[in-house]
Amino acid sequence: MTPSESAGAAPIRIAIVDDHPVLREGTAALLAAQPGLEVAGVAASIDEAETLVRSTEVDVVLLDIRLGSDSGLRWLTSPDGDGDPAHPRPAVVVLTSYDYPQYAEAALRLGASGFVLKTAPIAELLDAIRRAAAGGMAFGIRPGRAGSMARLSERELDVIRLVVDGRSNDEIAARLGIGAKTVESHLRRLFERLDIASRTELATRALREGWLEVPPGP
Amino acid sequence: MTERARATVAGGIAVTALVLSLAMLLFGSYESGVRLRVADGGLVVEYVVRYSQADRDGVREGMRVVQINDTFLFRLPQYKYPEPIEQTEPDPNQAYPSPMPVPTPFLVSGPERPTAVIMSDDALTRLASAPIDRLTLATDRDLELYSADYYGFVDVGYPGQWGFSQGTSALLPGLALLLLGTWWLGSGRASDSLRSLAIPAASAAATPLLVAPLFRTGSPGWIMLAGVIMVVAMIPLALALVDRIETERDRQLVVIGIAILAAVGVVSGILVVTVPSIDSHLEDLRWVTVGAITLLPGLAAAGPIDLEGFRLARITSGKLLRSTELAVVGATPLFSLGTNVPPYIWPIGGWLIAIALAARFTVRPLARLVTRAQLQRDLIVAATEAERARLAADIHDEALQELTLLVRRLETAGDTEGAELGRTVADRLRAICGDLRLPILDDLGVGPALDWLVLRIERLAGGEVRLERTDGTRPPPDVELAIFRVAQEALANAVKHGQPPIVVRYRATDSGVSLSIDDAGPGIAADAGVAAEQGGHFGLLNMQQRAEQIGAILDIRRWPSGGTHVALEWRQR
Repeated sequence: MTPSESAGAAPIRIAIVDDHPVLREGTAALLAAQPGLEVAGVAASIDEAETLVRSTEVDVVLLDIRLGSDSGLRWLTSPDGDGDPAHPRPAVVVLTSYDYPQYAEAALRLGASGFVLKTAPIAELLDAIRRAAAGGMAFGIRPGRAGSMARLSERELDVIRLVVDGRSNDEIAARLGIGAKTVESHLRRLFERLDIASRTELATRALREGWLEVPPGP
Repeated sequence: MTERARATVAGGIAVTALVLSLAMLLFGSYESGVRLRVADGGLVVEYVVRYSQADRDGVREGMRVVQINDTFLFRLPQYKYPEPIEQTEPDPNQAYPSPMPVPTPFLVSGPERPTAVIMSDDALTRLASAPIDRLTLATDRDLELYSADYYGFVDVGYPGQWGFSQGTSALLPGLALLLLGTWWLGSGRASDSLRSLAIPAASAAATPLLVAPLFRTGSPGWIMLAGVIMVVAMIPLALALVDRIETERDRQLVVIGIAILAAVGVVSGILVVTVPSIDSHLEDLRWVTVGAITLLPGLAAAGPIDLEGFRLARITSGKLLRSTELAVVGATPLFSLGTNVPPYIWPIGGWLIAIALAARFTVRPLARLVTRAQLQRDLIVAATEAERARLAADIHDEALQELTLLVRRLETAGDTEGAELGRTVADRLRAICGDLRLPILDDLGVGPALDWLVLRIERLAGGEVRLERTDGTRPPPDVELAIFRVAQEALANAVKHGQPPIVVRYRATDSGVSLSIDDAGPGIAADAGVAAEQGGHFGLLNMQQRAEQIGAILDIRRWPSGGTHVALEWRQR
């Protein structure tokens, strides 16, 4: 979750899809300078992005919504390029100028792992990239309108927060200083009570309904 | 009845009328209704056809023929009155003037009593079998009483064979009306909206002329049939016009009206023949009744009976033109019905010339003006939208991106305050972009865009603003834009003039889209459209234009319990 944790592991390979050349290069330079991150390539359109992720190993794609007259969200709705399960589409973090919750909602519904505003602090972007690479989610803008707030204990919120981060049961147990069995029973109770079928659904609902209003900083 | 069925029936009626009339002219002859036989050295009425012209004129069996065509069968005494006697000045001393002497007529020529002309039986037989144009008849008693003071003879003049053949002259204008009318209306030369009415309209206008020869046969059966054909010929056009009436309630009322008029038309057509010495007013009533069968739906389709709808910005100049066309089409058969005297050109000819002149010098220029105004209006809307989209794209694609770079640079340099200021400016620019052209509308569709709009309006409304939407599909971009703009306008109005809770309902399916906005305010006033325009507010007009551009129906009205209801309905074609 913190850069120090990621250090030593293989660097996260990032592709940047943005039609504005100066900003695209600027973002690339900014990320290349970060430890544990590596820029695999840049693209100006969905077609270029498709070619890029097929030709090289990419962990996280930073995707702009406005690509000229095209919409980056179109890539999320299109079927997975080669359809090869051994070569899945990389995690997508939507990086946009628009702070509309409707965009965040659409991104979440279409399977994006994160949603970050371009003018957001750099730390927020780096956090989202690392969470996405770890299989978690990060939404700087809460998707959709406030729903009925689920009644959750502090401990349950801690567990959910780590599930959203993409942590395994063992990692959650180690982080919270409790047994892996306890984490498992926490989750089972949450699934039953909230009528939820999977960890992904739990994360999605937590984000959509704003259970974790502010993502915890490192 | 479908459009196709109506055209088939209408065409069938006109062709039937034409064929019957032609057959009548080729193979039929005038039916005076009188049969004569030779008796006692003269001619006697042997038989009178019931309900024929002769029957209605008082010709009875057993009457003697005094005169047939130009031949006299009786010589009659000719009387003359003496010249009035010169009057002397009245005597002023006399209290009462002496009474005028009554002049006594005196016989000037001819026999003293009516005397039969001696003719051979052959000559009489020839006369009896000739077509009758004129007949003078008398009973024995009439002959006996005949004197200078008594004349009881029955004089009958018939249109006769000559009049019968005069009916031919109606066929040419009738046929011209049918063919030219169908071609002119069907080609769309008159108006696009009248194309589908071509055959019913031409048939209704031409049939009264096409059946004219039947009326001139003198035969009661053919006259009644012609009357019925005329009524039936009006029905397809009447029903086609009913289809153009806007509200269901008005349609029902008018259909009932048509049924009554048609019934009265048929009944009066029969009464005209069967009732002896019929009042000519009944004949007039009949023309008006039959003519009203199409006039009524024509007028109803031309203008909404519901005046509230009329005032609520539902009326446009384009619609005004269509209204005129429908009224004119509905009125034309009335003029055809009135064209019942040879040479069968007036008044229908005058009416058509008047229409042509009005179209050429008034309606056409007006239509051009309206079309141009509409085109300009559409251009303005399109240009405005394009300009707004371009501005929004410029701000987003250039300024906002460069500002992002600046914010990052300031942040990297440790200038947190500067970065925060940059973010505030970015927020402002984003808001401007959203107002110019909401990107959600293009990227995600009108459903999510309404979601955004409702959230934004709720902050201004000071109460609940709810969106209920079911949208699995997205309509075409121009439709989405129009829906969004109508919703913006309606919600702005609801906040300004209405009260929360405000409910927005949006529903999109493969077959179409419907949008409605309801508020709980006092409700829109009936003359709001007019008042707003006079006050320089064009919100209602703007909504109407947006709806018209995508071919949607916009309905704005007040709930009986208060509150305004705005509904937009668009369907996939």
